[in-house]
Amino acid sequence: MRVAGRSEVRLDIVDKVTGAARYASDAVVPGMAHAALVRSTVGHGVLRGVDTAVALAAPGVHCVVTMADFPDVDPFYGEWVRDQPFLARDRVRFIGEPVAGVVADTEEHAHAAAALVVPDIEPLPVLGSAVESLAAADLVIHPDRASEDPELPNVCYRSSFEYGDVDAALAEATYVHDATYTFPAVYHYAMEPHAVLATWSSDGLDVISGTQQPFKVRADLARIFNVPLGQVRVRAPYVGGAYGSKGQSKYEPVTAAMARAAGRPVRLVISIGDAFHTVSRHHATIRMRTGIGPDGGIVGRDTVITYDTGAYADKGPRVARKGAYRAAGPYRIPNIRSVGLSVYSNRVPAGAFRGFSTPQVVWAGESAIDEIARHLGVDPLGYRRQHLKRRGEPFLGDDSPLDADLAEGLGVTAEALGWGSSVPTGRGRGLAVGVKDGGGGAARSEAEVRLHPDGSVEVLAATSELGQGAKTVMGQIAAEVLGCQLADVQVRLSDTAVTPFDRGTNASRSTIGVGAAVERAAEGVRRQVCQAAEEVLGISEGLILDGSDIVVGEHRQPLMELVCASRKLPPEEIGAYSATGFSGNPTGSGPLGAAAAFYEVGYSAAEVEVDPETGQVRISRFVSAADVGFAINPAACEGQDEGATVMGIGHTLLEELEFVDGELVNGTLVDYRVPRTTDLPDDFRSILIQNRDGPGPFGSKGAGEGGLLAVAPAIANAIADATGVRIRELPLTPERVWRAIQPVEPQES
Amino acid sequence: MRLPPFTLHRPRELGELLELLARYGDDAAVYMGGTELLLIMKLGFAEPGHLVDAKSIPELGELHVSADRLAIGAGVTHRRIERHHDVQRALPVLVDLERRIANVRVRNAGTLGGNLCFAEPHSDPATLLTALDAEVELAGPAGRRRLAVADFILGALSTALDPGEVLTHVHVPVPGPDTLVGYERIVFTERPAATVAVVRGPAGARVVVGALGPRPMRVPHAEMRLVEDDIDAAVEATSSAVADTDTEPGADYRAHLAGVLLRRAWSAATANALSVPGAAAPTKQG
Repeated sequence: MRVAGRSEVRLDIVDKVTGAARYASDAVVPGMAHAALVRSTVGHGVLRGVDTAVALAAPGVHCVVTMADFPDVDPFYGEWVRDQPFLARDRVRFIGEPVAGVVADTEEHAHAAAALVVPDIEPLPVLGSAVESLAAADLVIHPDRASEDPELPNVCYRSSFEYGDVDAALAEATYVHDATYTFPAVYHYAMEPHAVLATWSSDGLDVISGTQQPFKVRADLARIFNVPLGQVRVRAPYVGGAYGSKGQSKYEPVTAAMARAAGRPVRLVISIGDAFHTVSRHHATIRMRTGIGPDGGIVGRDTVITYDTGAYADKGPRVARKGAYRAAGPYRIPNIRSVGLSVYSNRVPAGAFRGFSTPQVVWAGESAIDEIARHLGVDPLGYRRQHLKRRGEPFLGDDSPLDADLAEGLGVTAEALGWGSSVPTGRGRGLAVGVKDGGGGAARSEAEVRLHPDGSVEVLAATSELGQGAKTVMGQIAAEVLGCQLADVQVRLSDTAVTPFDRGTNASRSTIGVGAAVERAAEGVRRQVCQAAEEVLGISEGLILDGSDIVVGEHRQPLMELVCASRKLPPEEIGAYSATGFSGNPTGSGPLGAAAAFYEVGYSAAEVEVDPETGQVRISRFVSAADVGFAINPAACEGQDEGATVMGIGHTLLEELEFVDGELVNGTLVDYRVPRTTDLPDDFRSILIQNRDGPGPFGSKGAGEGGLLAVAPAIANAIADATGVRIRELPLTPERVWRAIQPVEPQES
Repeated sequence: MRLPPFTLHRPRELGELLELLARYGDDAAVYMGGTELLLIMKLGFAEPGHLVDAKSIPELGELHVSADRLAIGAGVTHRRIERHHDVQRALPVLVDLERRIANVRVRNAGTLGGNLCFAEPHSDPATLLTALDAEVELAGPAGRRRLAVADFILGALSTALDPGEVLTHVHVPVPGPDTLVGYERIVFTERPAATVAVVRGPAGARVVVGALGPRPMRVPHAEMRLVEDDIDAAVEATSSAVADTDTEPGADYRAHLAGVLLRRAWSAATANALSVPGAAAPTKQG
């Protein structure tokens, strides 16, 4: 390996550090106008009308739109369940829901006029959480939607998996562990809030958006506005972080609608406060019952997960399905039943978020296993290692065989923490493992690689550069295959009119999906060069590119000359070598309908110190290990693993979106605390496990989510080790920990 | 989250500043660091038509340290205080507090005077300055006057400033070597969740709890116990005082925290004293 496997400096680093990098919010086109949205201040109500007259007369205003202005469009989007209109139609379902849009000559005028729009909303009782909406049979958040279960009309989607006979297994078990865990709704906090610029012309609709899924957005826009796919262009420049918050459509449809109504390009850039009111991670309640046999083996696991999906489905149904599946966990358990519910409430919609349903179920599963090991009086590491599935066994049902040595990986992680050595006074240790089927199910990725006659290379691949380093990794893959320098490779950012199809930058799938397509396209180009070399020189073995030259053995020659000789054309006419490649994960197998492309595994081990006086938890030491198969760029992999861990520390110790009657009451960065450098573990190690056993280029697997999966249970298990107290509710705030460790006063009989 | 329109004024002298405030009345706001003012304007909680930027008034930028007091102009930033060698020598506990305020960007812009005028209940300096019997100097149409910080802060976001009046200086007495000073805080989100300052000198003791009510709260019972060197009783009195005034859920935890912080502040104060030759040491440690 010459280029792959090295921590190459990121191709975008200079532009990002100097501020030269351009994001969607930086885009400017001639004649552009600015938009502001009017949002509901009512959590649930009937939208009787919107008075736009005063706003329309305000300075600089081009137009004010409501859903009444778009009788010809199908305004709904959402994955699996299309229930969200780009502007509220006859109902509002959460505080922050857009009800009207204002287009004006400046942002200031747009926002000033937006404050003058008066929605007429007749309030309905608010269903402030999934618990409330499950109990409310008479109050239905989506009354015009047929419900699967008439007795539970606010269930958006239900998914279940069943293997063996759980009821019998639990009845026969010698010990049944039964516990309920809760996981908070949390905010993605992408540093760049959503930004969209939409332009209509005789060429169709052109949208610049900081999106993770340009092709998905293109499909949504084509359907909503009834425009052919070939006339919708979606470009995703650099994206300032996403973490799931910028998947499928978000503000692209409403911006395109406003641009159509205004008859000019329209730019919408929302604030962090509005991003808080756009999408979140699902709050979840997980009840898990685990049966243990006489030999300590796990005989059955019965799980019900209630995901609070908020006012609209977004990706909630898929979250519920994947969560139910992954709740089965990485252990050998013959009898499994998992039910995942996506439940509507009048909260901010919940959707995809790094880890996609999994941190919630790993929180329950890995807390439960620890509790069981402690109940049995055995070492939690040893107990796990004994019962973890082995490499080659399917995760569940007939899914793909596990491509990782879980017991070994957990052992490496535990050893790095010093598991088994004496624990300093006042501290405790815990560990956990999380497994997630990676790649996001059925998917296809395409890419094109072009080699120009001067030796420069262009990679056309629709991976969004979210900050994760995909641009650099795609370049490294192409350079490795072509035998050229990374500096000679230009990786173009997503543009549906230019870069070939990809499903989206999610599910840790870019390296194995798009990366594999780039690898194959580069192989195609290399074959063409080798073929030319065979024709012209009679040799191609070991050919590499070195700047503008080719080198074969002792022979060095400008590539240009080779192409001219091969194509029998003068230099200005010779064109480029170009090839496309694709990769795909087809439907038709596995419990989810498409077998797992790989398994993303995250191991976490923590040593914590609990302040008994205040309940504050200090992470003294933390080890995270990521099974990445092969690290194409090790520094980038470590960055992903560390970043995911820190994000996990957020929902473990600090973060929780607090709703009171559906109203988000801490939706600012002053009140909502994310981890800072001072919250980092005092000693923090990231280990990359590389067995070259993944489906991606050079044996790589996807990465980026694994580090997050097991953080919360590892820390809670460490707190339990330090204090003897088990907490089943996140985040583990000082007050919650302090209350838990107070001595229980004797009950009066 | 965008600023409403306003007219910016940049007076060069205090007299000019007072004239502008008199002219625009309620429609004017004094703009110093802007770390609180601009934030509430962006949030739509204030919409002054005139911002009077007082940063160019030389008098307000003064910072004097003498043997027995600090005189800190209203335009002096947190950052200047935390990096000032004479302040470090005279009142290290204030430097230590200033270093921990918010983050370096806020401290580079925000001022101590502005912090007191905003009267945010979670203010760090207000708690310590109340315990130190610090004073603020005010200037207005009726001339100049001085008020104890304890009398200046009336409640949450509320001060004793009269219309057209500004804070010009903060005067902090420098405690003598026979006085113990300690300050502790605990932070869960952006602002402190609880703060406690303790001072004990020849003239008596001060125990002040901040962030748990609308304004810093003195705890006379704890002060009496501290004069008697009974830290355990002082801790108990502090927790009781918070429990008596805090009626929100979780009050028991906050009351407990206040006691913990007092004990820690007292430990820090005595540890500081022991490290200074000739300084007072308590007769009995808690």
